[in-house]
Amino acid sequence: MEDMKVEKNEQKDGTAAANTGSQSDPRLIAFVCNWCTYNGADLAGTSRMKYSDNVRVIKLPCTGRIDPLFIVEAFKKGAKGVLVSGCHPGDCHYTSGNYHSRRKYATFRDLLGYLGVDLNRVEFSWISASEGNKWVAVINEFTDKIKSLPDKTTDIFTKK
Amino acid sequence: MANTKTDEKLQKIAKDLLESGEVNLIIGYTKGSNPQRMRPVFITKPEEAEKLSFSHNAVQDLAVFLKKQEVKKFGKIGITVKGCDEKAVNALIQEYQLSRDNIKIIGMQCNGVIKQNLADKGETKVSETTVYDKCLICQEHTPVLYDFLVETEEPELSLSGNVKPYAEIEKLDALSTEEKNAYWAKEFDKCIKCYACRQACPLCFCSRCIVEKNMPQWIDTNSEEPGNAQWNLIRAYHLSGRCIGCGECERACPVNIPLMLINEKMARDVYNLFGYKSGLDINAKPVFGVFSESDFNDFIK
Amino acid sequence: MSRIGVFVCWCGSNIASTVDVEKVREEAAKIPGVVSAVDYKYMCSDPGQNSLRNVIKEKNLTGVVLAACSPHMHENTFRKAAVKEGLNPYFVEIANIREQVSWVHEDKERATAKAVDLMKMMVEKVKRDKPIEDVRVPLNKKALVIGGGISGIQAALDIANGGVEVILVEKEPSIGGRMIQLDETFPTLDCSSCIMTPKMVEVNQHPNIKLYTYSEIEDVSGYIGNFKVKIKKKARSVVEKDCTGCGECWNACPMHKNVKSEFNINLSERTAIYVPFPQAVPLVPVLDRSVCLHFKKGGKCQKCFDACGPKCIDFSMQDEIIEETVGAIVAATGYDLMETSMYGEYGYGKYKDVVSGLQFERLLSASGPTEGVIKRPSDGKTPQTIVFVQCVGSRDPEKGVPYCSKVCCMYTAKHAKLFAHKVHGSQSYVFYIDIRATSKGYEEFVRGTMEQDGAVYLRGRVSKIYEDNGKLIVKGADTLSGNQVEIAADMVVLATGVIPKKGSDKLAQMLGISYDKYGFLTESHPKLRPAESSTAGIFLAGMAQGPRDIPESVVSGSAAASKILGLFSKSEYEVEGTISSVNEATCVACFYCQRVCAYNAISRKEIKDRNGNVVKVVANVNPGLCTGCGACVNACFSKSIDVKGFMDDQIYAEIKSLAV
Repeated sequence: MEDMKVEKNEQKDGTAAANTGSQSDPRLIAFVCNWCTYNGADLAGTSRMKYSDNVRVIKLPCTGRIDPLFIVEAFKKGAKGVLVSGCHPGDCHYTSGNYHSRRKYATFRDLLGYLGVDLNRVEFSWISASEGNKWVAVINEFTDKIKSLPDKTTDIFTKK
Repeated sequence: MANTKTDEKLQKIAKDLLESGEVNLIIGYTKGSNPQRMRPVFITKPEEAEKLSFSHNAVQDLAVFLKKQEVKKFGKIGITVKGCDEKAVNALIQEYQLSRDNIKIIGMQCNGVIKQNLADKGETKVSETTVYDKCLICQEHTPVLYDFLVETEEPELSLSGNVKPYAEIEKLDALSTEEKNAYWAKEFDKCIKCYACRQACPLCFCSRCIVEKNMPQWIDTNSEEPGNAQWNLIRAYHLSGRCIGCGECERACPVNIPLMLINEKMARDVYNLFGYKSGLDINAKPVFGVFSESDFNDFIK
Repeated sequence: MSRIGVFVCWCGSNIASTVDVEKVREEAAKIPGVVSAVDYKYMCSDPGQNSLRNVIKEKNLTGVVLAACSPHMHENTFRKAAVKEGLNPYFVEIANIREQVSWVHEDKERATAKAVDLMKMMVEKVKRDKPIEDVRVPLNKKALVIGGGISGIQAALDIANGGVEVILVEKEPSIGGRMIQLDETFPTLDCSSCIMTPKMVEVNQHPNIKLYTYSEIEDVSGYIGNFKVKIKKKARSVVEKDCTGCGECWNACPMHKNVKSEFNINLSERTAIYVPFPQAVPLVPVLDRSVCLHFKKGGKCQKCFDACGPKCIDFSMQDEIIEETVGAIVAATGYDLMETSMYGEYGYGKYKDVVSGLQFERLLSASGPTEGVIKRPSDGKTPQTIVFVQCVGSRDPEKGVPYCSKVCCMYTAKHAKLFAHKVHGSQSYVFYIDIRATSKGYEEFVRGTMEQDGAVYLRGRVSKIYEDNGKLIVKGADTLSGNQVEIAADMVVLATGVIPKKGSDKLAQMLGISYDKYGFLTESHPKLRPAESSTAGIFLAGMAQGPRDIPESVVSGSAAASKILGLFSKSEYEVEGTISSVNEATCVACFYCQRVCAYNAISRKEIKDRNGNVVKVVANVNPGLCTGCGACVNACFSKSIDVKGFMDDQIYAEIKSLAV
C-alpha cells in the first residue's frame, strides 16, 4: 500500500524523494511562535545543524495564537505528528500568551487522548531563540517516535 | 401526586414577583399532558402562576432559554432552577451573558430527577437506580445561589455505593488508544450533525457557532467522518471547564451518543488540573480566562 | 484574482547547493494565481530588489512570495522594495528555505521538495492577505508621573525640561519620597537632603510641572496618547495658594504630643496639622482629620484657624476629583519596608532599641528627631555598641522573600561608618550573609567601614536578641570561625528588606500593567525594554520595579522620561497594523478575549439604535494597545475575532497546502 502511495506522488509531482506523508516517511507539522521557537529553528540553520526533513513549520505570532483546533486540522490534512512550540514560561514576548495556551493544551490534550488520538503524535515544547540544539533534538526525536508507531493510524480525524 | 406544598410555595413566589413587577417573565415547569413529564412554561401574568409546578420529573434545564433573544427581551426574568441548572445561570453571569440584577433565581431543592425513559414506563420513585448519573454525584441539591428557595418534600437520595455514576469513564480510561478510538469512532459515526446537543446546552450561547463559520471551514459539515469527530471534539473542547453537567446535550441527542461521558471526564480533568469547577461562584474567573505560572507543565518538553 | 509573483533566491550557493532552485521556480509557476516565477542569485542585492520591483510593476502583482532566507533577515528589505511599487507591505511573504531548509538538510531532492512545500504554503497565505494599514494614534503631549520620590522627580524634571507638560501626583503631603528620609548617601556620603531638596524645589517651581500632593490616582482609562486620569486631591483643610508655611497653625495645635510622626517612623511626634518635615514641598501643612480635635470633638477646637494669619484653614474642604488627559504615564510608586513581625526572635517592636535601618537613618539625620545625635529610643543615651543585622527578610524564602533587597549591604556599611564617625570609640558589629557591593566605589566603601572604621563583620545569622540588664544580648553564629558569638549591645539595627509600596498592586490593576508575585511592576522585557510596562504608553521607574539604589533609580527615572520624550517627538504614535479586529455581527460579548489580553486592548462597545438604546454589546479592539499577539483569537469560541496578518483562513490554507 505504502509503495503505491509513493508511486502516486512520483507521478503527481515528479519528485521521487518528496516527503510522502506515509507512516514510514511521516509528514510533521510544527506550529511555532515567531519570537522563540522560530528563531531557535533559524539558529539551528545558522549553526548548520542537521535534522530530519519531515517537518513543515507554520509560523504564528505567539503560542497564544496557536489554536488547539489547528492540531485537528493538521491531522485531517494527513499530518502524522503535530508539534506546538513557543517561548518558555516567563519568556513570552507577549507576557502571557504561552501561559494561557498551556492551560488549553493541557485540557485539549486530555480530550484528544480520551477520544482515542494517539498522544504520541502530539508534542508540545518550549524552545527559546537560543536553543537551536533543542529544536534539532525535538524534531529528530519526534520524527523517530512517529516512525516507530504502529503503521495503523489511530486518529479519528482521517477519512475512513 | 404533585408536591402541592412545593407547588404552592413556588406559585406564590412567582405570583408576587410578577405582581410587584420585579420580573416580567417567569420561566418554570408545568405538568405535561403526560403525567410523567413536565414541560417548560413561560408565565407573564400573575394569574397564570398557578400553572407552575415542580417534581422529580422536572428534567429539563430551563437555563437554556436565557440565551434566547425572545426571552432576553423581557429584561427582568425569574427562573425556576434545580441545583444543577442553577450552575448554568451562574456560568452565564460569569461569562457576561446575564446580569445578576436582571435575574431572580427561584431555587428548587431537588433530590434527583427520574430518568425520562424510566418515568415514561411509570417509574415514580426517586432512587439511585432511577435518577440520572448527575444526580448521584450532585453536590448542589440545594442550589448554591438563589433569591428564593423552595424546599423539597422528596426523601433524601440514599446512595448504597453499588451504583457507580459515569462508571464508563474509568472503563474508557483503561482502554488502549486503539480501543478508545474504535469506541468513539463507532459513537461519532452515528452523529447526524443535527446540533441538538448545542441547542439544548445552556452554555452554547454563541449567536454564530463555529460550525457555521466558513473561511475557514473549521468543521466539515457533512454528517460523516472526519467531520463528525471534529464536531464532537470541538463541542466538548468549548465546554471544557465550562460545562456544569446538566446533561441536556446527551438527553437531546437523537442517536444517543454518550456525551456526558466526555463532558464529565473533562470536568474531572479540569478540576484535577486547575482545581476549578464551573458555575459555583458568579465572582470566580472562568478557568480559561486566567492562568497560573505554576500550571501543569509536565506534558511540555 | 490573485496575481502572485514567486521569487526564488539562490543565496549564492547557500540555498542553491542543497535546493534545486529551478525546480522550486518551475513548481511555483504551476500554481494557479502565480503569474510570474523567477529565480535569482541574490534577491536581497540591489539588482535583485530591482528585478522584484520590475516584476511587481510589469505584471501588476497583488502579492509576492520570496523563497529565500529567514523573514527575520530580509522581510523588511523586501517589504520596503514592494512598497516603492505601491504594493501593501503586508502582501510580501517569505518562505524560509535557507535557515529552515538548505542549511539544515542534506538530501537535495528531499530538501527541494520541502522548499516547494514551504513556497506553496506562502503562496496560499499571500493569496489571502488583506491590505493592512499601520495604525496612527494621536498623542496628547502631556505626561503623568505617579510618585514623587527621587525616580518620579527625576522623570518629571527630565520630561518638563524637554518642554513637555507634566502632572506629578504624590500620595503624601510632600514630595521627596524615601530619599528625603535618608541621612547621608553611600558611597560618597553626600547629605541626602542637600542633594534632594533643590530638586524638590525645582519641581515646585517648574513652569511645566503641575504638582498634586496629598493626592491619589482614582481611575485610569484610555490608552497610549489618550489616558483619562482621575486624581483624587484629598481635603488638606488648608488653602494651598494662600498658605505661607509660617507654622503658626502647627505651633498652635494642642495635639502636639499624641501623634507619631510617619516621616520619623514613630521616633517622634507630630501635631494634627503638620508638615511632615521642615523642608517639605510644598511647604503647606495638612490637617489630619483622623486625630484633629475639631473633627473629633464636634468643632470646638479651632486653635489653628485662629492662629492662621492669612486665614487659609478650611475645615469644610472636600476631597476633589481632578480629571486630566495625558499621553503617557510613569509609575514610580516606590517601596515600603518589610514587616519584621515574623522575626519574633529579633524583638522588633518589643525592645525599643531594636530599630529598622530607616529608623536609624532618622536618628542619624541632622533634621531628625535627635538632630543628628545618635540616641537610643529607650533612654536617649548614646549607644557605644551597635549590632547591625543584614538580610532581615531578604534572601529568606522561609520567612521573608527570596530576593536580595540590594541596598542593605551598602546602607549598613554606611550606618556603621557614620556611627564610628559620630561616636568616637564606639564599636559596631555586622552580621551578614554575603556582602554585595558591586557598583562604582561600593567595594572600597565597605572595606573602609571594616578597615578604617573598625566595624567587625561576622558572617552568619543572628538567632536571638534579648534584653538583659539594660543591654541587648545578641546571639548569633560566626560561620567563618565556626563559633557561636554573644554580643552585649546598646542598640540593634535591622537591615529590613524592601517590598513594593502598599497599594501599588491596586494601582497596577488600574493601569492595566502587570506585576510579579511580590507586587513589583514588571517590565515589558527585563533586558531590552526595562523602562516600559507591558502596556503601551505606561513606563516604569524606581523601586516600584524592584530593589535598586539611588543612582539606578535616577537612571530609571531618566530612562522613562527619555522614552516619553521620544514618543512625543512624533506627531502621532504609529503601531504595526497586524492587530486584531472583531466581527461585531457575531460577537456575543463573552469577553474571554478581554480576559486573556495582556495589554488591556479589549473594551466593551455598546451598539445603540437611533434612539440611543443599547441593542448589543460587543468586544472592541483598541488599536493603540493591541500588539497582534492573537491570544484573543484563540480565546474566542465563535471565531468572531481575528488577527490581521495571521488570519484563521490563512493558517487553514497553509495547513491545507501541506496536505498529503
